[in-house]
Amino acid sequence: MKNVEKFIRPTNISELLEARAKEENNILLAGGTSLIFSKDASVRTIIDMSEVNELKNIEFSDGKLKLGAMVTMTQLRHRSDLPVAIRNAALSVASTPIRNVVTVGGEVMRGVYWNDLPVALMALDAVAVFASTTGERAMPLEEVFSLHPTKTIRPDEVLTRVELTDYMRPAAFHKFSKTATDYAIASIAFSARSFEGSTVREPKVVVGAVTPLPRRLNDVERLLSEKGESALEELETLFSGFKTRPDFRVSAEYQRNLMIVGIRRLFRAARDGGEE
Amino acid sequence: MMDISFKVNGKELHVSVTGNESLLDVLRKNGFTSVKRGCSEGECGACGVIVDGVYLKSCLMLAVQAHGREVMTVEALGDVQEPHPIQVAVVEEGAVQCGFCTPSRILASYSLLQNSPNPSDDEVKEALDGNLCRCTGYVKQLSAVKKAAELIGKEGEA
Repeated sequence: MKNVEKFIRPTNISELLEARAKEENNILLAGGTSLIFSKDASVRTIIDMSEVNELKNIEFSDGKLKLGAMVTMTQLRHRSDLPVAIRNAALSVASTPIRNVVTVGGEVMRGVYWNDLPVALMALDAVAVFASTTGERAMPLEEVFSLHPTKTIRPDEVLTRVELTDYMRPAAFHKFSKTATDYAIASIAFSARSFEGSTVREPKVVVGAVTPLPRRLNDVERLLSEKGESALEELETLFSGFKTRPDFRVSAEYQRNLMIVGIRRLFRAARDGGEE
Repeated sequence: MMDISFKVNGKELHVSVTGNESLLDVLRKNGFTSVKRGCSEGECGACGVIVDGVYLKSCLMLAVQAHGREVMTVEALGDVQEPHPIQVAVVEEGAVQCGFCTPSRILASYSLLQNSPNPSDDEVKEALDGNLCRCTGYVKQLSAVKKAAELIGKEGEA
């Protein structure tokens, strides 16, 4: 970043996409809280997205919930019409002065283990919308995180929004950490199409922090689909060989146990309205 | 280097900055030493300022991002002769000891009270969750914000 020569601040999406396509060795600045630590000496231009007001909207349209890339965690946290899982994930991000500037776009595209929001978004089948001067393309968040997000986005693209369709389905999120503002030891999100008695339809379980990037737990989902709530007592076998991201704060055994306990709690929280 | 200009407490500041310089560094170099350097990585909150009405940590903001913006530090609120009600409340409630975290915490309180003039205890705790204190403790800080809300309310009635 020491070799940056140019700082530009587009005021609408088309100016933003033009700059992204044309400016030499550019980097996008959303909230900026991680960019400050960048040691990338190749960056020549910073494209500051803070004046692109079209990206700051939370919209309900076409049957979808659309979260603009520049929507902050503080905005999400205070919107009572949003899913509880999303609001809780937004509140889990660091502290107030950081939530005031951290954005949806930054949380998704940064791709570090402690990003909380993508865990909740992925459990709700969120889709990322990338735009460039040639048009838009949509990609499920699960696919965005199949590689590092900086590899799934093309160099001329910008993440403009995240879209969710069945966003009011039962869902819950929890960040496990040593203090409220510390990085997650484990972030866990759970959602389901519906609960009927002790059975559950289309459960989605996503974990973060115990893995380098958010990851769906397909084996757990399958077991829950087959056996319903009773599967919660059989989770140990599924996690015995689970390879976790090394974390100096806790052991792998602790991480695995946290996932088991967390999934049990969040299954019940999602069924009972989202709050634990 | 890039030439930028922005306002600090209403006065224009023109500076040349590198792409990796933080707003914290630039403010301190230019005499705004109420903005404290604690951890430099967004943990302690001693470097809090208000930029265009948003309370944030200046160690996590590139200086170049401040171009064209209005920055507010605690000096803009009041001084010994004419303290702001939040500063009065902090003194009266004994919510200050070494003073290192105080300027930023006062701005966090100011930001909260601008948006929520009669905050609940939970709102105060959340608003101050980015400000670590290692000597005063948090109980008096909470009561200082509540007291400040009262004082500001009374000023409004007068």
